Amino acid sequence: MPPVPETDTGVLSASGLPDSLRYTGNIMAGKKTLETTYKNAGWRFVMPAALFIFVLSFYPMVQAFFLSLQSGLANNLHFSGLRNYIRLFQDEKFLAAVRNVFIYLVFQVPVMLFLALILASILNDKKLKCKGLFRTMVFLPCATALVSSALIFKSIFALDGLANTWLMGLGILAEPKNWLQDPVWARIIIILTVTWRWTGYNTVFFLAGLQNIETSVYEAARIDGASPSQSFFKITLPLLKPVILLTAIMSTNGTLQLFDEVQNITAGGPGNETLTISQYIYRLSFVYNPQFGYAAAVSYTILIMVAILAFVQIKIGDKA
Amino acid sequence: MKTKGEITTVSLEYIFLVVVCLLSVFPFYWMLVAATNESSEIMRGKLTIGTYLISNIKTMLSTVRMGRAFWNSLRTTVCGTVLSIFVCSLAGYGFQIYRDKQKDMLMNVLLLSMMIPFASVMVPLFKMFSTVHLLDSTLGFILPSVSTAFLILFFRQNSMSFPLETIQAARVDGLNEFQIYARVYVPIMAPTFAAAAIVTFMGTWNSYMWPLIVMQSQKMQTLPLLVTGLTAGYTTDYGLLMLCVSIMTLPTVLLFFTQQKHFVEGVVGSVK
Amino acid sequence: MEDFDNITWDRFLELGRIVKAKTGKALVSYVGNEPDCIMIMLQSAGTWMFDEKGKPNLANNDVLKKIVTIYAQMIKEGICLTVTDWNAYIGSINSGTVASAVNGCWLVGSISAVKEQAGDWAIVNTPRLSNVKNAVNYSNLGGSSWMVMANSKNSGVAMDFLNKTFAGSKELYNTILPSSGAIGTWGPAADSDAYNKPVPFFGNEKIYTKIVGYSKNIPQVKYGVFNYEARDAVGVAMTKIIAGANIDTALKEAQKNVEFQMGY
Repeated sequence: MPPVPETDTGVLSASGLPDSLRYTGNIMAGKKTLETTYKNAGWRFVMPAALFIFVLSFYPMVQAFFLSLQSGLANNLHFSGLRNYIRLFQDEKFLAAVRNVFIYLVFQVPVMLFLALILASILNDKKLKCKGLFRTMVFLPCATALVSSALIFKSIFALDGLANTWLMGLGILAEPKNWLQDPVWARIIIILTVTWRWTGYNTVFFLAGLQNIETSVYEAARIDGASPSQSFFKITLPLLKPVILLTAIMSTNGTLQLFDEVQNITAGGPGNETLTISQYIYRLSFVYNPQFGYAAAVSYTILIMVAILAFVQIKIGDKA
Repeated sequence: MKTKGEITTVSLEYIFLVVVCLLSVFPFYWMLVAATNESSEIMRGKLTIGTYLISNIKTMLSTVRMGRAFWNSLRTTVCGTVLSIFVCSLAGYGFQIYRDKQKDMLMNVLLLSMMIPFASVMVPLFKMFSTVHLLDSTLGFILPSVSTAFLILFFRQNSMSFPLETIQAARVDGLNEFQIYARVYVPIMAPTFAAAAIVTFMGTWNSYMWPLIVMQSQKMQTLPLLVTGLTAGYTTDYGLLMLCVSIMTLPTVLLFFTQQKHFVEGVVGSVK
Repeated sequence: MEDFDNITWDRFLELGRIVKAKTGKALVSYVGNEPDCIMIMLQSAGTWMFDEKGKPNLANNDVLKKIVTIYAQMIKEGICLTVTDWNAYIGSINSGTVASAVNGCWLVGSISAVKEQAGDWAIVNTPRLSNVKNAVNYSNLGGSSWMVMANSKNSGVAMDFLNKTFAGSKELYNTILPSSGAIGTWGPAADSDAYNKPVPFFGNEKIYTKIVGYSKNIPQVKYGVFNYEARDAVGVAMTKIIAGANIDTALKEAQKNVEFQMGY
């Protein structure tokens, strides 16, 4: 007697055969076992990574939320409800940091993405020579550590640095300019550093997106008489929408959390003119008398801003 | 015969490209040249290769624990990258090949983690790791970044083009699910793994904030921590500093140089 | 050097103008956002950013207003150079971009690092505020302190240790001065050999004896727990004032800022 599969109900049906051997029941029962096996396997594949994220990202985030409901110095924390969040609006430093971060956002992200798009288009040209070399050089800045690029740019724009030496030599400047002590120029230099560092990264994404577009589409457009700019705006851009959205969200996320570059170039100065929210959190935790509860509340504002902006960008993406 | 307009466009493209590449590469050039010069010369704007390389190397060998930091970086980065690729590729494979509604929901939840700012979790993570005595250790270094939604997503997207028939055939051959992953999926998806490895390696090698918090003792310092420490003294020896920064940057640059074809292939696959 | 000894800040500015006219160089430099100079001046006048009750004393502090005016004037006239960070500060001293440095005695180590300048430097006391009562030519900035926590487990043992070493051992100070350049503020240390040695870099003057002598005259002030927050606020106010903001407004904002940080 052949072994009876576990899914049998153990009862013989009217035809005298166990469930597993009846025609209609057989295939279904067998499939169910396999399906379950596969389903379980699928979950086993997925669980380790998911667990890591739950334990090491979501759980600390929840802890941070409870922390944000407390006030006090160092370990002397007491419950204070939403007080930290209300205080935020009177905090001159926090408001300055938000203003700075939005300035960076508005100027740096579009410029960088636009630049990356143009670069990717050029690099995608089949007739381009030395493509590999150009591509490597464009991506090279991404291989540097953020602190390295910050240190290099700081040295170049120092009072006795390269920029001043050159500009004076060319006669454009009469005396060395204190770039990093000027609020406007300090921000420009930071935007410059961040753009230099990340354009290559976004270029690779756009390049990948462009390579997924079949050339036949462009051929058809050309035959129809479309000019290069027309085919760019009417064909390329819409097809690249998912990639543009992805890079926009990633860049926004990165800029809202900007820390390394600003910390190492201007440390937030002059005054509060280049301070970022992440820097303020760092100071609240490790520089001033530690106010971990308040710092946690400030960090949640970043989360809220990231979420809102991501939502807005997705909605714009849907409409466009 | 190219039209005048086409020639102009192409020349403009080349000029633009060359300018961008010069701007991209210049800071590297400056960094490498500075490593061969003496500190005060660098401050005065010297751009040519100098004769101080040997001297800077001697200073480095006698005052900076470069070898130890390099080994710390290498050890933590390799372990972190291998573990991360393994865990996230398993998940990406699982999310795509065994796709169902619940898994899609889980994926969306995990994607939310990409929005979590590091500043929020750094203090709770620090307290957590302190409690389990994992501070100042390789494991403490790599654990928080082992699993990222980005990498899982990367593998999932790339797995969309993986033929299910191959899996069916393997099942018929008697392989269990994990064997299919290990012996069929991994070899076929090599470019994806290469791309993921490069990105993860570079990110881990260069990471600064979490190592700053978790690596407490000098003997566990990784290269970024060591290098920024060099600027914290009373005077900065720029020649020495740039020599160390060059050494720190070299592995990631070499990696990208040699693997860029795979890298682009991998990214192409994920963007589909 | 005598021109610079026991002078007022007004005289300092006058001398600075002469130096600038003759050499085109600034007389002194400071890190852009750090209010080091202001701290030095504050303590030399016997006041601080907090009053005796520990409340912030920035908005209605006449001494602070006078100080801030002098500092802004120095920068405006190019007598004081502002640099981006600490390395640039040391660089400006070492490379001769500025002619002097007004700072804590621990700067001696950095100044002495440039061998070519040996013999060109001398030590004098700090300029004093001319229009403030009780202002002296002495102040304090930075340095390290040892603190025993009142509720620590073996505070008695710790205090005893400190009493026998940093508060009781001439030999300790004698050793750490030549080996680490550590200058102590313990009176009796001045009698030790190391402190009485002439220092070639400074023209064979017995600088350490001089410094310890100065330290007897430093006015004592209470820093308070929120010192760093107040420093930060004053630094921000200073940056605004240099950029042209009204002094009263900037200081009022600074006070509000510190009160905010303290009002957790």
